[in-house]
Amino acid sequence: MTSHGIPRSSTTPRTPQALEADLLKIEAYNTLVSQVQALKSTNTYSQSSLSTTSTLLEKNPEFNTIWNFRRRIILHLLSSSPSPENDKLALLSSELQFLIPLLKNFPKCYWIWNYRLFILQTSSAHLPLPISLKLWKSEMKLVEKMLSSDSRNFHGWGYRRYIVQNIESLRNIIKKETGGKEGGNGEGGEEESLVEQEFAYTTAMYGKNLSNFSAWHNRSKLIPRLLLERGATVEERRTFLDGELGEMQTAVYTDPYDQSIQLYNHWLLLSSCSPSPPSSSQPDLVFPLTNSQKFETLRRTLEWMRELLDEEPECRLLLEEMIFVGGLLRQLGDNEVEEIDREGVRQDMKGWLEKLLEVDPMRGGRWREMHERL
Amino acid sequence: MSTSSPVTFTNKPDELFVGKHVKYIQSLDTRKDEFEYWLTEHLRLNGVYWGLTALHLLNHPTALPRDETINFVKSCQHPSGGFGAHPDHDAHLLYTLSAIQILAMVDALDAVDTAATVTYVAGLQKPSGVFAGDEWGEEDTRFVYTGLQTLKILGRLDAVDVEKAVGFVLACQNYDGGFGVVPGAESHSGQIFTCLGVLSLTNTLDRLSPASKDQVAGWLAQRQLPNGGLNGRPEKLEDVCYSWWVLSSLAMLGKLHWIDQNKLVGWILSCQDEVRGGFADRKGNAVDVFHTVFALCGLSLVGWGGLKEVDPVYCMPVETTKRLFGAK
Repeated sequence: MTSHGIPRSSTTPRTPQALEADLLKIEAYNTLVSQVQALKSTNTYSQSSLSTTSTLLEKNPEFNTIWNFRRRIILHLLSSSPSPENDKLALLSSELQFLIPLLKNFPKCYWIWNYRLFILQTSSAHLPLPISLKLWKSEMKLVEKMLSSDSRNFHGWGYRRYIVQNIESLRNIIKKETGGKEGGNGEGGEEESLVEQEFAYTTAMYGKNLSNFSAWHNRSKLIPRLLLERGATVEERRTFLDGELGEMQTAVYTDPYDQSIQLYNHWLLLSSCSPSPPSSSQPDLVFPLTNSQKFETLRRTLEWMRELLDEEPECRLLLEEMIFVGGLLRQLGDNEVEEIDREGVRQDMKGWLEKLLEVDPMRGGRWREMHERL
Repeated sequence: MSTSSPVTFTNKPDELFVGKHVKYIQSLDTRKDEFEYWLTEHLRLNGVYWGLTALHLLNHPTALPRDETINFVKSCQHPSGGFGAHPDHDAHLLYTLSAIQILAMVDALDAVDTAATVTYVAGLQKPSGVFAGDEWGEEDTRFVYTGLQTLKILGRLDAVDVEKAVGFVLACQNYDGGFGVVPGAESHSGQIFTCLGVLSLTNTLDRLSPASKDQVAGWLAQRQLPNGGLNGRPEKLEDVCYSWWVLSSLAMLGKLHWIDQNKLVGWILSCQDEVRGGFADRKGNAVDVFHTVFALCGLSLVGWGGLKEVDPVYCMPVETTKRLFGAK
């Protein structure tokens, strides 16, 4: 009912044989549904109910009510019999295993991902934390596989962030409980924070394909914490920023038509060169620059963009980016930076907007509006 | 410049196959000999909402039998007050909103126990302000929208902490202006719709600064591809359903004129099944009622002649929202 990318079938009606085959398939499916619904309505939370729901969910993983029934079965099996830890672990592990082929076949099905998280959360509630932590940690391998087959999978990236958060918080709890060590499973000495590892992962992902906005987005979310945990000084933050901006310059030169790069560059400039907030919030800034450093950063950026524009005079993304940089320049405080030729920048921006109207008529309404406002 | 200027379409109105779309929607419940019909039972109530909205916009509001529709909705209500997709399906906010929207459109809200529905929805708000989709606890800005719209239709926004819900939504805004599923998640057009929807229906859209509104509108305008279609995120393929998520968001921001509406209309029309009715995600693909309603909503938002006006905040006919909330 919400089909995506399925070619339209021919208009010829089904043959009687095809119709017959469909009707048999429907009958078998509906019989199975009735069986499961009967078990559900009688609260039959047994191993055999579990395997009947497996058969149904393999045929239809979108049937969320059946996933809920399965949750109840699992909770019942975990709490009813005084089962030893190993049995509980085996039950939850086999649930995680059951989901793997389903996730491969239906990577965008919300219900499967949710159910998987439920199993992991349940493991934290029913198993010793170091054992649960192992389950959470092995999720990283799964999510890596998912993201290498579809590097933009929305669920995959969200899931990865969620797994990381949970591993970090479990490690913290275990550390507190054991008074400094991370449980007795030979993992002592590991850092609680995964921010360095996750940052490196975004580097690896955009290294494979620059045009991966999901990776750039995640990078922008990780950097503030990364710098905080590194205890980066003002000077180190500036060096870090210069490194990122340099990368962006290379990336834009490689593909000036890529929106992912443009958006990340936006973030870098916004978080370093926006007008100064009230001085009290100064220490929280990711990239604390003085006004003249902001001016210098924006001036240099515009300089290489102008050079690139000579080569790519029709590139709408580049023109848009230059207008963005020009806007930031014009916002810099009047008194502090006197070198800014505000009127010159304004005239340049007008020119770029006129060019945009010509090369990007689709968004003409926006460019006209901005032109009027300048 | 804050509202969209009227567009003169180069396409002729007879290029929209109204009669075929009406027939297609009417045929949906007669397809019990197709396996797909049974596989999609978990969307039945949403399907009725999508179909009914489409029929209202096509100016055929009575093309589905009213009594049967109301009875079906009633049969989906749980004692908790929430609704499932079908009588023996579990309750979820996604179905609860559809149920209430259907009843609002056919003016039959008194057919169900709405006081119980209010209790059900209010019980799903978490201390952070977000809503869980159901008792199992998945949290998502989609559910803030579905929860709040349900309560707004029932005139009971007072049953929850609106301020906290708005705060949660604002925390989901990214530097690119867009919104994600939860704080820290990547911007996505569908999520932008739900978040701007929350801000609009709680009259808090002005919590976004003018610069921030321009930024998200700019991001949304970037979703239009050279063929006129809209995608949901950077570097992704176009899809008819974004004719709703992107366009309604631009409409809430008063920036419909930031994209080429004419080109979009041409592209949406190319996704019709001109033989059997209905719209597909892209030209030549299989049609479904989900893409059909969002194609029609998109056409309605840009003022396609002959279609009823759709409300960009509620995804219902303006006639319905006017009746519920008074004139805008």
